Amino acid sequence: MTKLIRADMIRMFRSKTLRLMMLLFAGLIVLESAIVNTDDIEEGEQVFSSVIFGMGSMLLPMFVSIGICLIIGAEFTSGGIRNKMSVGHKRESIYGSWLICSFAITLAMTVVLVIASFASALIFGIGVSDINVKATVINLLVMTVCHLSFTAVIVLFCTLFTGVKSVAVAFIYNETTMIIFSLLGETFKENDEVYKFVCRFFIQAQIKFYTTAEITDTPWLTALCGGSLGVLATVAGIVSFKRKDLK
Amino acid sequence: MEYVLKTNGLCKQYKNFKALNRLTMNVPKGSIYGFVGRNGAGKTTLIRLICGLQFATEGSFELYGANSTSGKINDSRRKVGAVVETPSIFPDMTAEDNLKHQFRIIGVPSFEKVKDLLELVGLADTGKKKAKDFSLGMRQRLGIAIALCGDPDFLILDEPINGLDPQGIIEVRELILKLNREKNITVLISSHILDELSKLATHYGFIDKGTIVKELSAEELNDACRKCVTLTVSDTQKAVNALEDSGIASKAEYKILDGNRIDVYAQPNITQLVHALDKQGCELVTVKEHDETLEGFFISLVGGDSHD
Repeated sequence: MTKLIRADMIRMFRSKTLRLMMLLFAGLIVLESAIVNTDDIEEGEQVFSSVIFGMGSMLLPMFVSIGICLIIGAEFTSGGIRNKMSVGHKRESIYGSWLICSFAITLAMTVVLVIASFASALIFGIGVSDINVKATVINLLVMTVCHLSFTAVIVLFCTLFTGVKSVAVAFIYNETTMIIFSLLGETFKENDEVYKFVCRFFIQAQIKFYTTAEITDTPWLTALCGGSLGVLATVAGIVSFKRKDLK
Repeated sequence: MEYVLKTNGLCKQYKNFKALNRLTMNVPKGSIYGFVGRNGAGKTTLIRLICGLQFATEGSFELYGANSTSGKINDSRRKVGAVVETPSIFPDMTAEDNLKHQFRIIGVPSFEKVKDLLELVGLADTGKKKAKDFSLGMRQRLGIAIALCGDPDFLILDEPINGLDPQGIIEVRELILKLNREKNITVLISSHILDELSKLATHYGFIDKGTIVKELSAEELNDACRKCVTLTVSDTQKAVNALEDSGIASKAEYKILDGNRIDVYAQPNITQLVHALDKQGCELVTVKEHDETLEGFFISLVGGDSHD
């Protein structure tokens, strides 16, 4: 599988699509910072609790899902997958390589989010001195686990709905999940335990909790729930991919 | 005879459509195996099964002695290079980058062979031109170059000349012949362009409705398609004596089919023939002339009805 990971990593990170997505993502965060009214930034607010990081965090799953779907989708449309299979690579290895490379893309996008947010904060004078380092690090780690889990779901979509269809499906999944949790959030109180538990599985429901200056409630449970969804998606993806008839 | 690929009653069912129906075929080592059939006959389906892209509903195949149901099949696939339907290339990459990517997939650490491969397929001067700007023939040749990255012993080409211009067809044909003759690569080439296939193939498999209807060598096919006169006589031995003694046909120019029929490939003068047979006391019952082309032979096998 290492051969595949190496080949896929080089192809993905050299692809114009990914570079363009990263640039666009960073550009949007900076642009958003420029148009934020200084009145919107409350006193004592720092970069990780500001509207800049919040908006960036909301955009991150969308950019990640579109980027991954386009890059993995190219394997199906170009026939790249045939070149892998006809030289004897196992389907599990191909899927595993996609998953690991997609994780790398997600991490790279998260780094872009953090760097762009900090850069914007410095450029536009948003405070960085009041950062609660412990809370920020824990929140970022839990958020990363949830994003990796989300990535595993997107890779599952890439194999279920091959080609560009997966882009549309991933986009719809991301947006509807976000809307559903926003609406549910208004219906259920945040101290409703069932609602809070369901929220732990979805990054779209978690984003608002991370844009605070304090450690979120039981972060280990959120990481466990979010991670378990990713594991479930990976198992489902491998089982489905192993049985799938390819062209 | 040593076989690279042997299939045993392969079946593939897509919902209500049976793409392969107990298909059994054998590809001899070192041959160029022409896989002939109409569109939708099951050619591409079989190639997909061999490459591991799809799974057989029933039956199995052996690739270099490894059964498709065993774990060793992936090792055997390392000896295979394939171009299935359209060439598998990344359009935003150059020819060189596409080959380097394939070398990484195979796990070859150096790219020394990239230049040789590009020269072999005539793409050495494409430089930074992206594959998306290549002509169809260039893409086809790049697809073949990618399939050759792992130094395969067995090359599978699915309709490699489809859509090519005459020059492109000649280039691909010469490349296939070169690979077979110089590198001793066994080639399985599927096509419905019979005329072109007849310039390449050493063996043929005719497929119709998912079943191999005839498998034969090029010599056998040539014999079947040669212009000849079939004589129905009372005694073939007497007829042979008449042909040889009168000098109408040498031993190489006739073939005894059964006790009463004999194919004569020389163009006999019928009056002379009748006299010679009469002299031997052999009765001539019927004379039938055959002039079958490869297309004619194919139609006679699969029938001339419209496509399903």
